[in-house]
Amino acid sequence: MTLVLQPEGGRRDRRRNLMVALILLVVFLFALAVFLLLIQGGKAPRAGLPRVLGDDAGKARFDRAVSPVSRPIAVAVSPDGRRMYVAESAGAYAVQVFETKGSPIAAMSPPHTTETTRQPMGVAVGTDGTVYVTDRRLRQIMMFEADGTYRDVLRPAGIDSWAPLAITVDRDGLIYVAEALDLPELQRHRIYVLQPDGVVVRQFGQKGDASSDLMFPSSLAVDGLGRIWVGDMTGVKVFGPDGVFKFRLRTEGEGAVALPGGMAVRNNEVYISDSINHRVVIYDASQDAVVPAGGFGTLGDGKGQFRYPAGIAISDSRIYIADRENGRIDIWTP
Amino acid sequence: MKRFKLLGVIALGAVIVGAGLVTWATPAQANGGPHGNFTLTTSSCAGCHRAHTAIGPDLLKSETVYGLCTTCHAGVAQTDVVHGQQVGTGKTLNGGGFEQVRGGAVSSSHTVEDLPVNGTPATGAGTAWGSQDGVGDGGVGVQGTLECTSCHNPHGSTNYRILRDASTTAKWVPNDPDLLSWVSYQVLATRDDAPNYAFDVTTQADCPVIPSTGTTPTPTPGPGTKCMSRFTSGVQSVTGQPSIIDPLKGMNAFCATCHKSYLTMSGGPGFNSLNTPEATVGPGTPTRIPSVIYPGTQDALDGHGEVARYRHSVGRTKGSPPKQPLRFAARGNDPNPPGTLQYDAMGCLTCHFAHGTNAAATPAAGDTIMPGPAADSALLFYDNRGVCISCHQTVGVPATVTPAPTNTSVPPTNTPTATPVP
Ligand code: HEC
Ligand code: HEC
Ligand code: HEC
Ligand code: HEC
Ligand code: HEC
Ligand code: HEC
Repeated sequence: MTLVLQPEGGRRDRRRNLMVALILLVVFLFALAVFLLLIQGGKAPRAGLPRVLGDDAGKARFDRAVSPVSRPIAVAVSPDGRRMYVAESAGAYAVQVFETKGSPIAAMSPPHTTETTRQPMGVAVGTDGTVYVTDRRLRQIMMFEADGTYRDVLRPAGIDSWAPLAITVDRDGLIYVAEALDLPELQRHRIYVLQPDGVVVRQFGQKGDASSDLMFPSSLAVDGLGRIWVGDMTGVKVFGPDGVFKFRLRTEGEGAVALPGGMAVRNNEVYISDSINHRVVIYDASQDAVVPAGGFGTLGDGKGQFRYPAGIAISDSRIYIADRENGRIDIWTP
Repeated sequence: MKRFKLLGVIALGAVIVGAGLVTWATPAQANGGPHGNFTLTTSSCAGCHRAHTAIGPDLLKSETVYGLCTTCHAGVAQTDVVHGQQVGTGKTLNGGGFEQVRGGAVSSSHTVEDLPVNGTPATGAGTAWGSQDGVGDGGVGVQGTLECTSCHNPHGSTNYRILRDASTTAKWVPNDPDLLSWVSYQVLATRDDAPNYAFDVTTQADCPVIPSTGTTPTPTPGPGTKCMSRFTSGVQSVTGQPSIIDPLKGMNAFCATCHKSYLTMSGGPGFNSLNTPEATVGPGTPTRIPSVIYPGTQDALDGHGEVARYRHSVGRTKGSPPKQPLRFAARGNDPNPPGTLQYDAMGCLTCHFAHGTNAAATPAAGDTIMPGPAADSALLFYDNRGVCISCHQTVGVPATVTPAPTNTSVPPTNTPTATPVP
C-alpha cells in the first residue's frame, strides 16, 4: 500500500466507480485477511483494544488531563497559550474557560439563554483574543472578550439565516466557518471565509456524491500553505486557499481518518482527531502531497487514551484534545 | 497452498457478507445519511467501522453504540435525538429525545446503554414490560441490553426509520419464529417516508386537512389551523401492487416484538385472541393472515392472567379521529396513491414517544388501584393522564376543540404561538 494520497477528481461515471470500488473492496478485504493471518496469527484484536497501525507512539507524550467538563466537543487556546476555552455538549452547555495549567476561571454563555436553549459546538480564538463560539440552537456565532464578557454576534454580511457548526481562525485573523443544514427546503453544506467584520471573502462547497462535495462539514483547519482542511461525515477534504478542491484523505489504510472530530495545525503538521477510532492522526502538510506522519492514542479511559476525541487545539508547546466521552481535556506534549 | 485456500475462503466470505449487506440495505429514508444508501465504496463503512480488523463483531471500533450514533445525531446531522429536535428549526422530533426534549430534561426514556442518567452512564440492562412469551402473565417480559441498534438497523432496512425487523431482534424475542416472521413482515413493509419531526402548527404548508367527523365540517388548513400530526405506521409503497399489508400495524408490531404482551392474536367476532385456532393460518407469507394476529392492546393479558377487555385497541381504525393533537397512524388496505391515506388509527405512538419524554408524572396520593410505575412518565406525550384527556375531552371543553391543557410544562399547543408538539 502506498502512503501518498490518492487525489480523486470530480464526479465520475457511476458504474465505473462501482466496479473500481468492488475491486478495491476485494483487494482490501484480501489484504485484511492476509494481514490478520500473517501478523496476528489469525486472531482478531479484541474489541475495545484497537491496534493502531503505523502509529508512532513516540510522536507525542501524554501530559495531563483537565476535568471535569461535560462532554467537551470543541476546544481552543488563546494566542499566548495561557487560556483554554472548552465547549460543553452536555450539563451546563457552557464554554468553560480554564487556565491551560488547569484551574477553572469562568464559564461563558450568551445572555438570556439556558442549558436547554443554547448548544455551543465550535470555538476558536481570533488573533486579537476574541473568542468565537458557534451555537447550534441559536444558529449564531457569538463573540466574547478574552475575559468571557459577551460582545455581539458575528454574521456573514448579506446572509440573514444560517446554521454555523465549526469555526477556526487563520494566522491572518481570517475566520473560517463550516455550515451544515439539511432541511428539505434548504440544504447548506458549505464553508465561508470571513473577515472579522463579517465581510464574506469566499464561500464554497455543496452537498453531493463527488469527492469534493461536503456532507455536514463539522471540523476545519488551515495549514501552513493556506489550504483549507474540511472534516465531514465522509472523511477529510482539502481545498486550496481559493476554495478549489485539491484532494481527500483516504478512509482506509495507513493514516486513515474515519469520522474526523476536530483538526488543528502545528508547524507543518495537521493533527486530526479520528473520533470513532479513538486516536489522533498526524499528517505532514509541508508539501503539495500530504503524507501520514504517525499518530497517538487508543480507546480507553486511562492516561493517553480517548473515548470519542472531538475538538483539538494546539499552542506552541501543547496539544489539547476534547476527550468527549471521558469528560476531560487531554493535554499532550508534541 | 492450504493457507492460500483459507485466505480465499475468508476473502470470499468477507465479500459475500459485504455484498449481502449492501444489496439487502435498500434505501429506507429519503433524507440520505450514511445508512441504507450504500454505494459500494469502503468509505461508507468507515464512518462507523475501523479499518484494521476482521469482518465480524470486532469490526466496530467504537466501544458503545450511543457514543457512535451521537457523534452525528447530537447536533451535527439534522436529527438530534439527544436533544429531541430537528437542527435548524428546533422542531420536536417524532421520537422525542434521550436527554432533553421540548425545552426540558427527559423524565423517562428507553434507557439505552451509556445514556447518562443523573450523570452516570446507564448499563442499558432492562426488562421490557410485557410478558416473556406473549401469552403468559403481563408482567416481567423479555430482557437484554438496550442500545440504539436494538431498535434500528444501522445498515438500513426497508422500514422508513430503519427499524429492525423482529428476526434481527432475536436476542430480545427468541421464540416463535412463525409469529416473528409475520411481525418482521409488517415492520419491514412500513417503508414510506414521513417527516421525522412534528408538524409545525403555525405553518400552513405543514397542515394536513383534518378529516371531518360527523356533522362537523372539515376544517380548511390555514395559518393557525390546528394540525393533526401523524406518524406513518407505514404504507407499502410499491405502486400498482395490491397490498396485503395492513399498514397501520407496522409500528405496533415493532413495539410488540419486545413488549410481548401486546403481541396478541385476535380473531374475528367471537374469538378472543388466545383461542384463535392456528388452523386459520393461511399459506405463504405472511404465514398468518393479518386478521388473525393483531399486535395490539385489545386482548393483552393483565398482570393476573385475565384478558383486559377495555384496553385501547391499537391497530384498529376509529372511523373518525377525535380532534386533538395526538398523532395517528395511517390506515388503508391499498394505500396507493398515498393521497387516499387516512390518519385515524390509534397506535403505540399515539400516546408514547419512542425515545424519551419530558412529561411529568405526579400520580394522586394513595392511588393503589392502578399500581403502575409511580411517578414514571412512561414515555407519554403529556403530563399525567394528559393523553387520555386529549381524546376524552372531559374537562369541560367542546368535543371538537383541543382539550384544556391540564399539563403545564407541555402544552398541547393549539395556539399558533406555542411550541410544536408531536
Ligand atoms: C456519520 C454520521 C452518522 C452516524 C455515525 C450515524 N448516523 Fe444515523 N443518520 C445520519 C444522517 C446524516 C442521517 C440523515 C438524517 C439526518 O441528517 O439526521 C441519518 C439518519 C438516521 C435515521 C433515520 C432518520 C430519519 O430521518 O428517518 C436513523 C433512525 C438513524 N440515522 C439512526 C442511527 C443510529 C442508530 C446510529 C448508530 C448506530 C446512527 N444513526 C449513526 C448520520 C449518522
Ligand atoms: C451508521 C453506522 C454504520 C455504518 C455506516 C456501517 N455499519 Fe456495520 N455495524 C454498525 C453497528 C452499530 C454494528 C453492530 C451491530 C449491532 O449492534 O447490532 C455493525 C455491525 C456490522 C457487522 C457485523 C454483523 C452485524 O450485522 O452485526 C458487519 C459485517 C458490518 N457491520 C459491515 C458493514 C459494512 C460492510 C458497511 C459498509 C457497507 C457498514 N457495516 C456500515 C454500524 C455501521
Ligand atoms: C425502543 C426502540 C428504539 C430505540 C432504543 C432507539 N430508537 Fe430511534 N426510533 C425508534 C422509533 C420507533 C422511531 C420512530 C419515531 C416516530 O416516528 O415517532 C425512531 C426514530 C429515530 C430517528 C428519526 C427522528 C425521530 O425522532 O423520528 C432517529 C435519527 C433515531 N431514531 C435514532 C436513534 C438513536 C441514535 C438511538 C440511540 C441513541 C435510537 N434511535 C434508539 C425506536 C427506537
Ligand atoms: C428492543 C426491545 C424494545 C422495543 C422494540 C421497544 N421497547 Fe419499550 N422498553 C424496552 C425495555 C428494555 C424497557 C425497560 C427499560 C427502560 O425503560 O429503558 C422498555 C420500557 C418501555 C416503557 C416504559 C418506560 C418507563 O420509563 O417506564 C414504555 C412506555 C415503552 N417501553 C414503550 C415502547 C414503545 C411505544 C415501543 C415501540 C415504539 C417500544 N417500547 C419498543 C424494550 C423495548
Ligand atoms: C391510549 C394511550 C396509550 C396507547 C395507545 C398505548 N399506551 Fe402504553 N401506556 C399508556 C399509559 C397512560 C401508560 C402509563 C400506565 C401507568 O402509569 O400505569 C402506559 C404505559 C406503558 C408501558 C409501561 C408499563 C409499565 O407498567 O411499566 C409500556 C411498556 C407501554 N405502555 C407500551 C405500550 C405499547 C407497546 C403500546 C402499543 C401496543 C402502547 N403502550 C399503547 C398509554 C397508552
Ligand atoms: C387517541 C384517542 C384516545 C386516547 C388518547 C384515549 N382514548 Fe379512551 N377511547 C377512545 C375511543 C375512540 C374509545 C372507544 C372505544 C374504542 O374504540 O376503543 C375509547 C374508550 C375508552 C374507555 C371505554 C369506554 C367504554 O364505554 O367502553 C375508557 C375507560 C377509556 N377510553 C379511557 C381512557 C384512558 C384512561 C386513556 C388514557 C390512558 C384514554 N382512554 C386515552 C379514544 C382515546
